[in-house]
Parts: sequence; structure tokens; C-alpha cells
Amino acid sequence: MKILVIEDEPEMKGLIKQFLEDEYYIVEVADNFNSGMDKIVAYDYDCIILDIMLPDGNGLELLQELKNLNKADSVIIISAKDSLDDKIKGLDLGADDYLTKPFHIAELNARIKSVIRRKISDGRRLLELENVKINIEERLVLVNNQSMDLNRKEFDMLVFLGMNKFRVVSKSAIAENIWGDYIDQANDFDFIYSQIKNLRKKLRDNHAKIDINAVYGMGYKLTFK
Amino acid sequence: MKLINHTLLFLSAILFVTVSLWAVLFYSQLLKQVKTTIDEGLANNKIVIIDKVKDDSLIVQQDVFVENNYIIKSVSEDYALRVRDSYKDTMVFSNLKNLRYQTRLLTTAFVASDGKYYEMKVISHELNKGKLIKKIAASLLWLYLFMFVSTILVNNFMLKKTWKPFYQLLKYLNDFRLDRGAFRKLPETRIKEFSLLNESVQNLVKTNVDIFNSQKQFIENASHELQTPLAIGINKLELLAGDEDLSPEQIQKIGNIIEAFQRLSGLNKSLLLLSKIENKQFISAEQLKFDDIFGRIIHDFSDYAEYLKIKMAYYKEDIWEYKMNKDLAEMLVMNLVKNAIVHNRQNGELFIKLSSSSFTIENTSNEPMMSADKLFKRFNKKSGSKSSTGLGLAIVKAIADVSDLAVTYSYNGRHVFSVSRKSL
Repeated sequence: MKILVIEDEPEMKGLIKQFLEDEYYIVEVADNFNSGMDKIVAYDYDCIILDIMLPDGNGLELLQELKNLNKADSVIIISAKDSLDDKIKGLDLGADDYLTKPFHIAELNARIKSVIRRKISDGRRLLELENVKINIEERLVLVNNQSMDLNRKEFDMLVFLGMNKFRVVSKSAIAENIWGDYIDQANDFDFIYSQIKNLRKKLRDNHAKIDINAVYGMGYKLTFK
Repeated sequence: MKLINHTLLFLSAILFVTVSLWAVLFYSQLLKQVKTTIDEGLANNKIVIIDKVKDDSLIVQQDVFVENNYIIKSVSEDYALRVRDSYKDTMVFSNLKNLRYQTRLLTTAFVASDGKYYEMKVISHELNKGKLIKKIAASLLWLYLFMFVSTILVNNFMLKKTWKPFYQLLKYLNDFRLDRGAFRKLPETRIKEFSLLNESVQNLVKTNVDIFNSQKQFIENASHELQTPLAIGINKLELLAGDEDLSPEQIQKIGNIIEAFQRLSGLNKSLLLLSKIENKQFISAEQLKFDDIFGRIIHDFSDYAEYLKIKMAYYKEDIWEYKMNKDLAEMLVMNLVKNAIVHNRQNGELFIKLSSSSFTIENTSNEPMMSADKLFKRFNKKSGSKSSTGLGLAIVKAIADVSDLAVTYSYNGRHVFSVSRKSL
């Protein structure tokens, strides 16, 4: 899986690069419009992380170029600007997703995985975690090939944590992913605890070989038993 | 007091004084002239009488003005020689009219052909000062009234015309809002002072609008620029928290730092949102149902409310269709619901009532009644509530203002926020 990160801010770029390499992606970086353009024209990527506010040009033009070249690269726009206009323009130009800075790295990870998952053949669309198989499209969870009943939130939470397995995912990242953008207005995110508790109980009852551990003061982590 | 009335008052006072002074002057001049004329008549009369009587051998002494308008009495030579012609005002009693009247009196002396000395007093016809004053006063009053009326007319016409640019400028300044940016040009005027004033005002306005815009731009840019370092900070800490070597205490500290960063980012976002709302950057309006929005928001917040043991109840009388920007409508409802949850107490209640053209959100709370003026101000928050930004209700107010909605606060043991269509 090859990912191109077009981001002018060196810290941000390095951070995303390092994170994605930890996830076993092949990562290339471009730190301005022109080098981004060169790479887009010359190579194919599975996913492009595109900051549209670049010092020497508008990232939306890169999108336009991709469209002109008829390339199928998935694009996730990251922007400091929470502008509806840009969002609409970006998605119109064929971007797959739009993330506003600051975002949780877990959220970016989940979005990249969904974007890539959409591209690959059906057979591999299952998210497999030990003896747990998750079919995200059909919203089915199988433990030892036995289906497990989860409500919507429990399912979304399992998928989100599963995509970020072995990582500490902060409570706010979980809350924003499952309860929507507005929940970031909540004063604390301890309310997700009861949902997590139910999910853990169901996993235990179904003898799943995965567990969700609380990381005190931070959030939760999905681990294999 | 309007400028026109002020000038009018001033002018009429001056006019009154001038006319009065002039009346006195005019009266004295006129009186002088009248007396001179009368006196000349008396002098003529005197010559005629003397001519008539001096050759008479027998001068009839008369001591009252009866049929003739003179009296003659014999005097000593010494006395007669000392008499000089003198004119003066006097009062005479007329038997005929049976009243006293004012007249001019000429006192003179002459020597008759018989060598005897006589003193003679001649009176003129009636001199009625009172009548004169009355006439003058009456005509001057008319003059004054006439001038007063013409002053009003001239003032109204002239001043209104002259001050038109001023009133236009006033209206312009009244209509001017710094945050509305674009300003129209003032109409041209031929009067130099007004044209200078207009120019100065327009320059002032332009400078201020420019400064305001650049400040606004600066704040927006600063907010955007802040997001990147915040993102870096949060993401780096999130990665760091995954480090296996960290102790739970260290992870907790990292968690605290992330929370602080997120609060900062939330604050930043809210400020940006406020400035966007106030800049009317949410233009597109659509017909929406508040019922749908409540459904979504209540769903989003139900777990949070449940966790805080707050009983949330939604009474739907109607769905309230309204035309406004959808994002703003969601933000409005979300902020009010969130506010009602955050400021609630444990085991508290939250009631939402939606009718055909309004909704109310009531919540129980440990907090006493708030002042409605302060409530919607930015950063008006209780000290000690560390996690609220103090911007939620300011955002609510800003959204209501741009969407022709009225939001009111009242207290009936519960805190009640009502939103309805703004009455025009």
C-alpha cells in the first residue's frame, strides 16, 4: 500500500509519515504544490493525504489535475480551514474524505483504512482481529464464525478500535467518531465508558480473543489476548 | 431642539428686540417731526393772530381757549421783553368735548400798535400721542408678525435645503455598521463645508472598515494557523501515549495535556465559528424541520445525558418548519441542548418542547437565576467550570440574530431558553 503525503508543515508531515510507516504503509512525501504535482503525475498511489493549503498553490488544483489524468488514487483532504465551500469543492473534485485540523491520528488512520478498503476486492474487505471477523459493509461481526449481536454504537466502536488496534485511542477520538462532530462540545467523554463496558462484556461472552483495555486518563486500546 | 427651530427662536428674539428698539426710535423721530410741523403751524398762526389783533384799538383780552385757539393777556413791558417764543406740550380742557386733551402750546409776547405789551398763548389742534403709539405699535406688530412668518418660511425652506447634506450624512452614519463592510458613497453636495465633512467622514469610515477587515482577516488567519501546531501537538502526544515504556501516571499526564490542547482547539473553533456567523458566511438557507434536528441532536447527546443521570424529555406538538441555514440550525439546537446538559445537576431533568413556531428548552440546575443580559455575552462563565468555553450561548445569540430568530431566557425554578421567530 503506497501513500503520498502532501503537507508543507514539516512536523505534521514527519508525524503522519512515521505513523503510517508504523502501520506498514509505504510512504512518500511532498512538501509543496510542485513536487506534489510531479509525484501525482509520475506515480500511482493507493491513497493521497492532501493538505490543500500549500505555500505555492491550492491543493484543490492538484485534485483537479488528478481528475484530468483520470487517476483512481483515493484522496483525503486535510485542512486547517473548516470551510464548507472547500469541503464541497474538494468532494466534488473527487476527494474521498475531508478532515479538519486538528484531528485525531486514530481518526486519520480509520479514514485511510476505509478509503483503501473501498478500493480492494470484496474478499478482503473483512477486518480480521484474531478470531473476530468484521464485515463493515454488512455490519456483521463473527466470532469463531458465530455471529455476535452488537448495537450500532458498539459495532462502530469495535471497528474504530479495531482499525487502530494496539494503539491507545483517546476518549474524545472515540466520541467524535461514534457520536458525531458535535459531541466534542461535551465537557467530558466518560460517558462512552458504559458503551465500552457493554462491548467488552459481549466480546467476553462470545469468547472473542480480543479485549478492550482502559488506559487511565487517556482512552482505550484494543489488544489481542 | 432642531437646528431649524433653534435658529428660528434666535432670529425671532433678535427680530423682536430690533423691531422694539426701532419702534421707539421711529416713534420719537415721528413725534419730533409731527411737533415741528405743528410748531410751524403755530408760528404761522401766531403771525396771523398778531396781525389781526395788534391794530385793533381794543384788544380783547381772552383768558380761556373757547372759540379761539389762543389767549391774550396784557403784561408789563419788562415781562414781555423777557418772553421768548417757546413751544411745549400741554393739556387743555375742552368744554366742547368735555375732556382734557394733549396739545402744543406756543407762548409768545408782542407789542400792539397802542404800545401796550401782551402775552399770547396759542394752542394747536389735538396731539394724541396715545393714538400715535397705538397706531405705530399695531403696524409694527403686523410687521413683526409678517417678518416672523417669513422667517419661518425662509428657515423651513432654506435651512431644510441647506442642511439636506447634513441630514443625509446623519442617516448615513446611523445606517453604517462596521461589520457590514461595504459602504455606499454619500451624495454630492455643492456646499464646500458639507462636501469637506462628507469627505472626512468617508475617509474615516473607509479607514475603519479597512482596519476592521484586516483585523478580522488577521484573527481568521491566526486561528487557522493555530490549528496546525495544535494538530501536531495532539497527534504527537497521541503517538507518544502508545509507547509501551510509559507508566500509567505518565500516560495520564499525556491525556491531560491532550485534553488541554483539545479545549484550546475547541475554543479556537468556536471563535472562528462566531466570526463566520457574524460575517454572514452561512448564506444558503433551506426549509428545514426543527423536529428532525432535535431528533438527531437528542440522539447524539442521549448517552452523555444518561451518563450524567439527566432525564431528557422531548414533547413534540408540531414540527416547526423554518427557513434558515441548516448548519446554523443544528449548531443552535446543539449548543442549547449541550448547555442544558452541562449546567444541569445530577438526577436532573431536561425538557424540550417544540411547537409550530417556537421551542423551549428547560433544565434543572443547582445554579441560581442568571442575568439575561450577561448570559449571551462571550466568555461569561462561572468561574470553576474549567471545560466550558463560555462561547456556546454567544454562538446561540449570533445564530439567532442572523436567522431572524429571537432567543430569550427566563427562570421559573428551571432555566428556560425559548427560541421563536423574531417579531417584526
